[in-house]
Amino acid sequence: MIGIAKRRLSRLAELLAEPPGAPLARNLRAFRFLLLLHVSVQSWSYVITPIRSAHLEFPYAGSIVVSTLISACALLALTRYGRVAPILALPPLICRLAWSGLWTPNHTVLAFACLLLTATLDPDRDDEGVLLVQGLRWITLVVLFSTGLQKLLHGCWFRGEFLAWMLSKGTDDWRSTFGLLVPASEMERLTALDYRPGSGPYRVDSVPFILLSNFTYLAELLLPVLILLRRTRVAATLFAIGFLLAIQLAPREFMFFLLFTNLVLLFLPCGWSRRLTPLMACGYLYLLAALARPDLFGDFVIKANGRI
Amino acid sequence: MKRRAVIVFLVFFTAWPLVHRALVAAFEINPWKLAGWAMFCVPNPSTKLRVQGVRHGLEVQVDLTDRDRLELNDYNLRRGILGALEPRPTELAEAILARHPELDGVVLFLSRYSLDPRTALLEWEVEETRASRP
Repeated sequence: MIGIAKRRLSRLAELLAEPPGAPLARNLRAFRFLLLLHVSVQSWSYVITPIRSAHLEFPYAGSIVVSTLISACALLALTRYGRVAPILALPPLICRLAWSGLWTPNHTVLAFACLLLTATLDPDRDDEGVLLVQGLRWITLVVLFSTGLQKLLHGCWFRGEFLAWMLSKGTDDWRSTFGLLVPASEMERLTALDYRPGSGPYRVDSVPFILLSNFTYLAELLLPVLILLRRTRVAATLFAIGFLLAIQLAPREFMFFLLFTNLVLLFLPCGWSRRLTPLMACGYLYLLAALARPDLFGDFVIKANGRI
Repeated sequence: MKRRAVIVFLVFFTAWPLVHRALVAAFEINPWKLAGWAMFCVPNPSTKLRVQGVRHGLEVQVDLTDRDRLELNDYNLRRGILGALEPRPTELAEAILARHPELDGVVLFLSRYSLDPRTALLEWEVEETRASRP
């Protein structure tokens, strides 16, 4: 029994590892830079638009210091001292986590987990580089699979209940994204529902709407398996990126999209993770610019600000 | 050593969503929070806290102080995330009563909505916590 489990685990580790000769270290160095850039931009978002809550008010000067330090670490990651950059970025990020406490966004926890791994393991050492890519890939698959599993276990996606709720109570982005799949009369009924006990039902009699709802969690459950298998890896990875982009159209959580896309890109061969670094960096700079000047750059990508 | 630490961390990371689901079921913690990757699974179940005073056996409105509001919001936010892992607001009700000598008692109504997946109807749970003068 233990022998079988060991064989299965080593097969899993093998699937998560990169084939010999792949440009592992350069890919991981690129990921390390983008991760630090992500944490940096997210930190600046708290400086640009501070949280308005007596319980969550970050010390403003502290936020600036934390953001500056993490930005310096992101720049340091581009130099030959890149190995120490995630180690130096950990204390300021831990300060931010301590300030946000229970309210820490899930995406920040994900970034923290990745940063812990990149601070612990050196991509330039062969053994540690392999373990680092295995760890980061495993985290990616766990998060993707868990989002689908949680939808399955909570049971509000089988007949589109959650999406119907968001059509009723969510922002206009939800209505403009999913409203096309819902008959006008149903949309009118949903938007008229209030918060009184027994209000509802939050269901829509529309086959495409129910299919889309079920497709969402099924994709989240199946994609990790298809990404793990080498034969379907490239197609599943590309599909996953498109899927991630599509599901951000309503909640507008593009900060998460960039972080998770960088993680998913680690599965692509031929160093695509590194090749797309300039594009990803531009994405982060655009997010930062939009956060600072939504009047100039639009607020389409910054509705959620990475705070969910 | 490093390898072992990383593996332990990854095992914890893998198991946590299931622990999180169990905590949601047992203690009604907020599925959207605490990194269980259950955002967008159910409507975000925020809680609401309402205060009612009692004087000469009748329910009266309470003129809340800034301190009352701050403590109520603080409790409400923590309860909204931690669910039943956060103790009932007995101490909070007593503290509010102590700041309002004109009252004989204070009742806190904590309400929380959820969507019943079987009926797709909105359900409200209301919990009452009372504090009164000896």
